[in-house]
Amino acid sequence: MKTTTRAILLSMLGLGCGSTGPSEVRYPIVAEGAASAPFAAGDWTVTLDVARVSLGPIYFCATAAASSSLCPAAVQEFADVAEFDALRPSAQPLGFVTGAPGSIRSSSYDLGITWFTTQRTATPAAASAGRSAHFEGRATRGSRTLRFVCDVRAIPMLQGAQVVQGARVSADITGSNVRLVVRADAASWWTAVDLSEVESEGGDPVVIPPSSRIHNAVVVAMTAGAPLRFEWVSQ
Amino acid sequence: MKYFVLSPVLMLAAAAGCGTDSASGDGRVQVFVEPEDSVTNGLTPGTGVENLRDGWTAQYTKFLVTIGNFRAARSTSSERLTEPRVYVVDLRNVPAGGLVAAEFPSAAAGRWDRFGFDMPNASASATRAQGTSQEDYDRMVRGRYSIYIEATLTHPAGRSCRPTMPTDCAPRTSLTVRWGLSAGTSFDDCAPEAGAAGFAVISGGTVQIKPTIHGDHWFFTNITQGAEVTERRAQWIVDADLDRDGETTFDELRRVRASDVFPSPTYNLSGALVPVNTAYDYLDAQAHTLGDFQGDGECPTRRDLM
Repeated sequence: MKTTTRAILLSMLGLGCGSTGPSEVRYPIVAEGAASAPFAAGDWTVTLDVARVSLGPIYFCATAAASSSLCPAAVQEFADVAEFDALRPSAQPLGFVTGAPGSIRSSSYDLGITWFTTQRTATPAAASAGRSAHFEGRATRGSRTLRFVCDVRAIPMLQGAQVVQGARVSADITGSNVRLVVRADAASWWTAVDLSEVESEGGDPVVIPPSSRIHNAVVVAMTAGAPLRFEWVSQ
Repeated sequence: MKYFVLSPVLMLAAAAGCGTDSASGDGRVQVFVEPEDSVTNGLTPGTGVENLRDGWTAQYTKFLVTIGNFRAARSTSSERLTEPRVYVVDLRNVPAGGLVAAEFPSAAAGRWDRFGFDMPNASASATRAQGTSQEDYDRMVRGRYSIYIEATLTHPAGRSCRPTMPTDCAPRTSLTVRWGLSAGTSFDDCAPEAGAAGFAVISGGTVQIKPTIHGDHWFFTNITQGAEVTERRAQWIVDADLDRDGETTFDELRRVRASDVFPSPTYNLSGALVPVNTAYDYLDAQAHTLGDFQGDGECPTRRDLM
């Protein structure tokens, strides 16, 4: 959007009401993962060695639901796509959230693959390396050890929608003295998978195919079972 | 693409307080509870937007809900309308003229932009609505249900396939469900499908408000946000009949991983009020969305009443 249009729209917030707060906010967004530790997934004990996640863009809406009709424009947004290490607990800078001050009640976001109304098909962002997440890990069951790799592609269901649509959040952002912390628990995305599905596949490591139930289980967990958590922290 | 502009809600908030409602006088507000056509007529197979895409026909034989605590407010003033009464309603047997669940004889003329209601879990304090049997009322209160349905799914060439082994299928042409859910939910900020949120009262006139209970959301392929941009499919319910006895139970739904019956991106399970890990979770999530407004209008602010 052109800067002039943006300025006009921002100025509308204060029309005739004597607004004294900032007309724009800009604050950092960071990601925090969780250190790798063995966890159970069915009969297997799994350890993740690599868990890289692409996140963005993210749109924050004032409405609790986030359809294009209820939220035709975001209050605030993280317009970029950035990758982070979901096994690293320390804060990893992703960029900045910008927008107007106000209440936020829902978020919609993509995991590095967008399907805007201007795109003919779902399209990976350049920063996402063509995927939403990349995992490498080991699974053991008795004396059997299975190494695996998985590139996850989480694709929006509809053109114009995000892959996570209308996730509930709650924040009232009045200024730029906050930062947004995005928390990810990669292990929770893998607890519902059944690695037996690929046990007989060849290769070391086994490459988990996108058509597999395992792949779908990870996508469902990332988007609905244990989605990213957003927390605004004063700074 | 979403751009960096102000949302309509913020713009509305900016406008609020800068002016006054110039309407004067009072009008009457009647709140009717009405079922969507899918409750009374079922869903048929086909390619239309309201059809079940996978060949199944769904027909309800019972559709009970708990509904009430109707409320309205105006952003431009402190005026409120409230009717705390809660009803247990047999939606397949509401009076021909509609079930009037609340009436406000003296509402100030002008727009009431905030309308909401609850579909709570039933308690003994609920009122049995006209057309609802004592047996059904007792069933709802005893189970603390917000929703209870009985339905039959039919498909002349239907099959039930194991969620964990989709190639292991058996013929299944008819399947029943009997589900009572404690999915108490509040619905607010209701808006018609087109036009401004809430409703308008005309001085000396009567406005009819119709919270509308939808019967097809568990067939949706996503948790809709506002407009119902989705498809309707029933196969997941049939596949979840793990013992293949012709009835899908909650126990079976809880044993089915969501990812085994909801393939992505045909389905998108995000945006639910509850985490979705099992097929039961998805049913529960959709049971939190049935409250709509004036037909296909939405009440986008939903809260779990536990």
